Amino acid sequence: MHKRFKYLLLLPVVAIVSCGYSTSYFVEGDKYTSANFKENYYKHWDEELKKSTKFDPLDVTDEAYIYDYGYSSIAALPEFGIIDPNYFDSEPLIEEYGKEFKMGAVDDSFRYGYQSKLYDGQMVCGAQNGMDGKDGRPDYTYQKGRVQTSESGFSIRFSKESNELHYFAIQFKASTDNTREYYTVGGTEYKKQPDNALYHDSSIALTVTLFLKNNEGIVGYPFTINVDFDKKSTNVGAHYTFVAFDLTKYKTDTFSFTRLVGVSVTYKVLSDELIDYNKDMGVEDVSYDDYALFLYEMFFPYTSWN
Amino acid sequence: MNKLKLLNRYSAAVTFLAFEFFALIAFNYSGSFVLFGALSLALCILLILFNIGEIKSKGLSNVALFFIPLFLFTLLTAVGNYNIAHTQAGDFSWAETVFIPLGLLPMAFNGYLLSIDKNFKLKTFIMVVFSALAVYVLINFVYNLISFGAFYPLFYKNFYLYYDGIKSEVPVSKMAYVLEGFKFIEVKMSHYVLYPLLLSASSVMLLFTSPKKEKGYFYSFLVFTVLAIFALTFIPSTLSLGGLAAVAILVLVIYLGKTFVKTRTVFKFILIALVALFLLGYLFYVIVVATGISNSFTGILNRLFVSNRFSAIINPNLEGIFSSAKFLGFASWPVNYYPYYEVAYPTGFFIFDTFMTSGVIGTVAIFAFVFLGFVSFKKYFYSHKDEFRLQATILLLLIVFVAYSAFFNDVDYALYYKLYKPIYLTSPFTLMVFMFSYVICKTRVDVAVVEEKKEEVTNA
Repeated sequence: MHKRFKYLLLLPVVAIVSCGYSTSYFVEGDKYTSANFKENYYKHWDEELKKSTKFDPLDVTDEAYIYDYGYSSIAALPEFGIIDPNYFDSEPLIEEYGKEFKMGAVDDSFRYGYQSKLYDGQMVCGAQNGMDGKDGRPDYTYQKGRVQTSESGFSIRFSKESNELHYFAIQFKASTDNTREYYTVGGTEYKKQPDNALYHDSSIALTVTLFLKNNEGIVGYPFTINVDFDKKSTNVGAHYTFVAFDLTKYKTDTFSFTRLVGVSVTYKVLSDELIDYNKDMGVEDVSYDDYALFLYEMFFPYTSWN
Repeated sequence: MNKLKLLNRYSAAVTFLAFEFFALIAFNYSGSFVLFGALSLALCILLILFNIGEIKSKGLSNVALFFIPLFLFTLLTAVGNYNIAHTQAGDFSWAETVFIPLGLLPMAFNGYLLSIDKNFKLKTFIMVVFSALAVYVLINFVYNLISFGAFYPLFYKNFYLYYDGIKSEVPVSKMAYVLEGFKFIEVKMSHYVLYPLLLSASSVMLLFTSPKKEKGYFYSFLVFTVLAIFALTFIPSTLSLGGLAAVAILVLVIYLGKTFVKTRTVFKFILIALVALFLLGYLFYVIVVATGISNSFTGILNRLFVSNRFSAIINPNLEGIFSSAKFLGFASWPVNYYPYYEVAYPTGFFIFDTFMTSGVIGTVAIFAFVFLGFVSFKKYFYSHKDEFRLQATILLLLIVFVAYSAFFNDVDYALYYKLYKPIYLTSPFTLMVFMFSYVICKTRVDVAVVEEKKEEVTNA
């Protein structure tokens, strides 16, 4: 063989040691799409974010904008100051808000991975219309829109760093495992009445931690908001809770809100009418572990990224 | 005299430009059919201007008749129900529709023009096309290795990739990255395999090129072949390995056929028998299903024509094609609104999808064009107008492309992007049109076609 062509042999070597950087985005088979409620919790935690130092949580319940609303009545959104008051002057549509501010539009790297559900601009479950644009093909209906999370929550490490932050907004609803057919009281098994899990009061303390990078490393800034769910928003389809707060209000000399590298979402269930009721009744194997927060979308409006 | 010299020089420049154009098309540059069509048209106009004398002397009338099938195909495809419906639905642009006849016909005419062009060297053309194809394959191959790693189809059979919150339609083992336009996009594995398979046709060149006499040429083709093999084996799939094996067998057949006269006769008979059998079976299948006769079949015939997994996909697209509603093609998923009620799903077989895209007459026309192209190879081989190895490479490239698209042509190959591309809007098809046309014309222009004669055993 010609001398120069010995380099050809390098190709298979390079190929074998090739890195496969996208493999971290892979999701195994039917993970998060199981019929069993408890198997669908997204619990991914980035090691570096987990180990980082965290400030004491700041309660922003009073300043935050918390809004329960129905599917097509997002008209009141301009009140919280994030968007142009004229933005929804005609038919207010939630899809428009999603499209305008979704993080997926920032950069293509935000579009990959399971967490991309929170950046795709789809703020509702979209179970009926198959929002992937491939009508007639099977889709994952209610699992498509949301990320289901437990009290211990999850964290996301962004592929980019932000410049100065302005606002934070998140859309979610809450529910309990109401798919169980049977429950046990005092050793006796009862069949659950249909629909008895719907429509109940619930409240949580939501903690959103922003992880900012500085010269010493990554520091977490937790914000806590107490959310009392409206009866509808807990379980009725097409009702959601939208929470937003203005980060610029909390800016100090040491706390500049730049270089955001990650975010985590955790919560504590303060009360849940349904679970509490079952507990009081003596139903075994019922706890706040059956509770889930369904996150639909997360926004950092008007923030630019590097 | 000086004027003539100047003209010759410009003429050479235009031929050089033609090579550049072909390189861009083979590279699938920008993935845009409109661009390929526009390039074909521009090239055609330039070539006509510089070869006007040649056209007059080397009777266009000899070959004009052979453009009719392609003319019918492109025209019927462009104005067919399928194309109009999908253009209205936004799957294709109007520009693409316009360039189906306006891009593909000039491309075929380029085949004629370059077959009479004195400056056109087929050897250079083959080199240019394979080089561009090799660059494209290398880019895709490396990007897949970087993203997924070597042999990933073996490891990730039950893993999925979420994009924009949507779970991929197929597991990671059945997807790959391909450069489309200026972006890498996730496509189905069958689409990734096409380009390395086309590149693997370069292997036939190695058998008939001396590594000592033509060092550069030989080693270039060695690199192409090795690259094709790597791109197919390091990202293995049933199609890639099967395709590679099929190409290896074809190369062997070509080699044995060239070397031994006796085997040539045997191969000829086998080939004719196989093609005849396939065509008869195909015709019978289409007629029986389209006319609805198959519905009355029972037993083994029912199993063959109605109740197997291929028929389940194919038959809805064949039913009623002779009726007025479907005769000129019909819209397919995802178009499903008035007045396009005759909706079916693309089958993935070009030989059946073409009824949908081009209607019955269009299908007959494209079959006639391809058949005419392959039949012309017999004359082409005996004409000795080009070197045998170049002829064999073109033949293999065309066989690979036609066989692949007949059975594995997925119009909806992109996983996340809305890219709805029937085969006639792709770069390999554009090249195929040129090559068939070149072969058809080369054997018919310049009257001195050498008649079939017994050849002595020759070694390369």
